[in-house]
Amino acid sequence: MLRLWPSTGTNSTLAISHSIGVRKGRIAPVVLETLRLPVLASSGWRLRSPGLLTTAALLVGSAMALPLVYLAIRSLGASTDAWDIFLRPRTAQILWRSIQLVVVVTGGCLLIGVPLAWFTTRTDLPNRRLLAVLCALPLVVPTYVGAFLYISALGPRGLLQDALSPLGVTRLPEIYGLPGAALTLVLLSYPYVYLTVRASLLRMDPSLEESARLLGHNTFGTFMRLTLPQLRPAMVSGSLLVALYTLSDFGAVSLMRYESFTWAIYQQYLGSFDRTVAAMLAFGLVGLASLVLIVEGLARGRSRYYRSSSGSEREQPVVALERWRRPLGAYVWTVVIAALGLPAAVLGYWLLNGVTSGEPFLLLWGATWNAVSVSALAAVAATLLAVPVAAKVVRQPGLVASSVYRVSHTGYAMPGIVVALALVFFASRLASPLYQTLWLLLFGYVVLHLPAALGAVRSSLVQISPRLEESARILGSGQLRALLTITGPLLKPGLLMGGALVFLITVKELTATLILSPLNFKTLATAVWSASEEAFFAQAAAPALMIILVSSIPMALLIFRERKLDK
Amino acid sequence: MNAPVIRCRQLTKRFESVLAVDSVDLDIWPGEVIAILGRSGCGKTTLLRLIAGLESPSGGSVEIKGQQASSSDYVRPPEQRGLGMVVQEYALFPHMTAASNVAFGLKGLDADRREARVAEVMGLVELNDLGGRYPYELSGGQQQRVALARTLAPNPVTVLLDEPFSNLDSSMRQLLRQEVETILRSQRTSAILVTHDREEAFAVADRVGVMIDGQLPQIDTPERTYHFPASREVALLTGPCDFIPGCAAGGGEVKTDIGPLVCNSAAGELSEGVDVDVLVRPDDLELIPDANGRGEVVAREFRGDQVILSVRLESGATVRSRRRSFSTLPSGSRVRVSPVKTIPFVVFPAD
Repeated sequence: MLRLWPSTGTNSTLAISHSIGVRKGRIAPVVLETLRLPVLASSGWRLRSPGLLTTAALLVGSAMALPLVYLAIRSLGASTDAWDIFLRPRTAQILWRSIQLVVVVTGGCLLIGVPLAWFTTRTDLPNRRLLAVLCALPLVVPTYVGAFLYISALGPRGLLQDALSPLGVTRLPEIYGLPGAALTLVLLSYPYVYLTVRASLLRMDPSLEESARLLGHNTFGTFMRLTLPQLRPAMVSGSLLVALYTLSDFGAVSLMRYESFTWAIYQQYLGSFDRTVAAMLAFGLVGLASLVLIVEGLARGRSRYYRSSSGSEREQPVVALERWRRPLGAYVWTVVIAALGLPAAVLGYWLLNGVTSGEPFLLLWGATWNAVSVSALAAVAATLLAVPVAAKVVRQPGLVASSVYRVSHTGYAMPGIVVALALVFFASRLASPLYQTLWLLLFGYVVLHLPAALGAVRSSLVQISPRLEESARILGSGQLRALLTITGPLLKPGLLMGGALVFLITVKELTATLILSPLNFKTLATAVWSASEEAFFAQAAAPALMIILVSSIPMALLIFRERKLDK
Repeated sequence: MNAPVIRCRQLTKRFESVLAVDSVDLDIWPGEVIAILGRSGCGKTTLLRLIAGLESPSGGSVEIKGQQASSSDYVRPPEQRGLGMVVQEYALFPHMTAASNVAFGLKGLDADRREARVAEVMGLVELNDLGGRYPYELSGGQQQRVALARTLAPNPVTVLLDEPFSNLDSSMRQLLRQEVETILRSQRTSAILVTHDREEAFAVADRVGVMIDGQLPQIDTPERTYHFPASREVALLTGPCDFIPGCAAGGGEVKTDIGPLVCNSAAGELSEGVDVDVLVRPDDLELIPDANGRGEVVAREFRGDQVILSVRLESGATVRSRRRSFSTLPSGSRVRVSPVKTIPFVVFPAD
């Protein structure tokens, strides 16, 4: 299954709550319980030259911790004026709006993602292989693209209203605000739930369900009493991804004019001379993200889930839907059409519109080149930097390793806007040569997306037995040759996977790009953003399509690999 | 040839609070095969890894061919030790063919000679035709052979075998064990075999080191570790054993339920009147059906090639005795128990 994020295990989530500073208290033991690192491959290489690896891992870890630490320093050193602004009732309103949005979106994603995962893995739904891929695809559509497409389709004076006006319909339900933001985020981020649950269903041990049947439960009873409870960890980690994604989303909420945290931070950043308030709001957002992590820890529960047999894998049992086939099929296709078909159609419409009205496409190539090159650099950098951290945690587990590992997940819980602001503050005060350079942008990307690379590299490294390196050593190879001839080649798929993942999410990245890009550095994301912010939808269509095309390449790579692993 | 190839002195490894290897002294002589027998977790794999240079000792030293290889402040890297190692999971490089795996350790040879050597060792393990296969295309036994070939190819000083047969089914295990022994003997390569299987240890090794809680309380020929174990723990590890209570009668004799027995004490001369436990193995005793016998058969376990009968003695102790498979002595029979062992019994101080 596609692993888009490293958190299907319990480790990384614990890691995050730790890194963002869950205070000791009643929740701490629960959090610690969920955060416990899994048993890693047996301590391989404890021996010589841990120095180099440890140093590299520590360097990466400190770099990843930098934004959060600096943000904390800035927020805590705030003036009383800043505190006054921060403590206005408006902050509470913003907090409440963000919480509402997270709850609605997470709930919506569960309602869509879980059934979809089950239908596409365990039933005889027609075209289920095709649907399995289609259902995952909304992930390549950035929220700001989705939002402008939904607005232009369903909003006031949008395509739907145009189509309906001959019938005398003059008003559609309001799209701006919570409904629109939630709709966009649910339809574009349910794949997080869908993919994790689907992976869990595919991995599930068929013999457990067979035992339930032998113990006298029918299909429905087995699903309710066995399958669904077993899916809980996947549902929880999928929801966690959705919740964090929703909290960090800026594009959809801004276009939908829903005043949540990220929106408020950005306004504060743009509009006010004293940026401390923005820092404080950002810190508040980090607090909210850690709250999400705590809730996730509580929801995870104490049972452990595992395959009871390690023997050869059998096909998962398939449920015959019989008379439910049509209605359920219709449901799945409705989701696919709403999340994929409708945006595609609207995008096509605007594209055509743009071509006929002679939109200049010249700008597009420059933005594409910028986006692709900077994302590729970020992918390479994040993947390479993930290697020492992954190696440390897999080969030399211990306190240093787990601390570095946790700190390296900072970007996972910190919304892009927070990391970007922290880096702006940092660079403008302490590292001015970096301010407004591509280096800072690249650094921001790496902080944000290192966890994705780390997950891929780590899971690949875990599968490489330390005995292989040891055997190479005993057969007379030095460390370097062992690394180049044995570990390196075996790690290649993991590196490729991590790189593809980082590339995919970096191309879409909006907030860090907006805030950290040097002046006049335009990428596809900022091109879409500035056009759609002004409602020049025809102008936004071409770069939006380009983002989707460019990020489809690594997506195809990931899906292809999943297929290969399936066999 | 008069010096050990590997010499461990007071070798110690501590993992946090656990003493995995505790002051081990061990010499491996040229051409010798030593088995280290112990339960899982007793430290035997750690001992092997210390010798291989994969762990650094907390104390003591390892010498290879008379040169210091490991001490608490210096560890010569594994690649400079000239040893070979076969591990339980074989650790074949999955992205290389069998032949490339075997060739991996052959550095400093030109291509022709390397190829010749690969062919030679592949022939030794009877896999001449399978050099082009990848590890996943080989059966468990074949993978094991490739691992052995890979280890032997660079002519190692000593081969370290870490539970190499435990992933195989029992018939394959026996076959490979014999083959490995034959190959090692023909190459005159010394070896350390770590195993939890006493049959394997006895069958292959010149000497067996019994490892308990990180220590090696006894290193001896298979026969001596079996017949004259240094302690109760060693006795339990080296074979099925029962203990009969007795009382020293002087002159090396111990009075027991089944009559006076000639005994050897690991603790030296026994003074008269001391309570002891006598170690008896299932083939030390014979059962003679006798309606007035003092023993009663309480359990019977048919194993195909033999029958193991448990007999309760008057003192309450239960001893086991091996009988031929066609023996028909049923449970509940009265029997006389008579010692048939021609060498002295071993006694330990009573609990």
